Amino acid sequence: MSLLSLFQWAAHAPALAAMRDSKWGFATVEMVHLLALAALGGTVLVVDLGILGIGFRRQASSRVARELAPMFAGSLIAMVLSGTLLVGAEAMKCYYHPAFRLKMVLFAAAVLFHFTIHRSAVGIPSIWSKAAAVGSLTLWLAVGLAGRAIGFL
Amino acid sequence: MSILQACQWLNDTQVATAIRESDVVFPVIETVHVLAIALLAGTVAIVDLRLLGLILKRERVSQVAGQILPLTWVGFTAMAGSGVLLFLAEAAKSYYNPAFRFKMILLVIAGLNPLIFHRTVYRNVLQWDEAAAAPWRARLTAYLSLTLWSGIIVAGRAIAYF
Repeated sequence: MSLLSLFQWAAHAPALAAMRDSKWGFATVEMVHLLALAALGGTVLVVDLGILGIGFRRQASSRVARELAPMFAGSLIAMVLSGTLLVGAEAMKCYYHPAFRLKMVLFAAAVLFHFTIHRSAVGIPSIWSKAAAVGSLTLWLAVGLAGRAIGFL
Repeated sequence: MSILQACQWLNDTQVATAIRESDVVFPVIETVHVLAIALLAGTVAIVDLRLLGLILKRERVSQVAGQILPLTWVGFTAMAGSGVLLFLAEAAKSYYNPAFRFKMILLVIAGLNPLIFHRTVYRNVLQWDEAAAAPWRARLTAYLSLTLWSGIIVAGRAIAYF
């Protein structure tokens, strides 16, 4: 099944159509997406700014990252689930939307970066961990900006 | 001058009209407002979850709260600044918006909550600084804070639907 046919299937799925057509159905999922954004963005900011010496300065960044990992994972799952529903309800609009396509590429890059380079660089305070923090902040900010652009373009 | 008249007056100021009529300015301010949620509500949530003993259990409460608070203030400044500009642009409309009114009430309570907390149970923080979970009054504050800030985000999103 191609990506296009998956999106076409979503566009015709009755449950997703019901969510799209009910005013508060879509709004509720949007609210969950925003709440999860607060938690996900909060953990990213606190960990990465800590590496850069802002905020959590007296704790080892690797420890802060480990302690906040469940919050990161939980909010990431909530974002993906609510985000999937939002896309499902506006499948065809999203499929052809340049901001949505860009967001998905950036999101994949941000997740990949987090679980590979960021994870291994966070351990030892160095120029590399600082670069990883800047990279992570930039990628997640770009995901957010592209997401916001879906609503405007 | 009534509140409605004040809103009407603000609505008609040059700044408000300029924001409202620009195709770019309003979305840009809105974007700042949405992304700053992470800095404000995200950092508040981290301190709340520490009080509840769910994360950063082995870090002192005072260290977590003290180091994170400056970030929360930056977030608050960004939120308040962008929020005021968004309000100005739609001041007359916002006045009648039930979600906006509800959000303002929640904001006042969410502001009082830490004020009371810092003047009461947090004064003795050194006695429970290293405990995994804080005393019940501090945990109550944390639950209240999480509920209020979630409510503020939800009500904020709902403004667009009225």
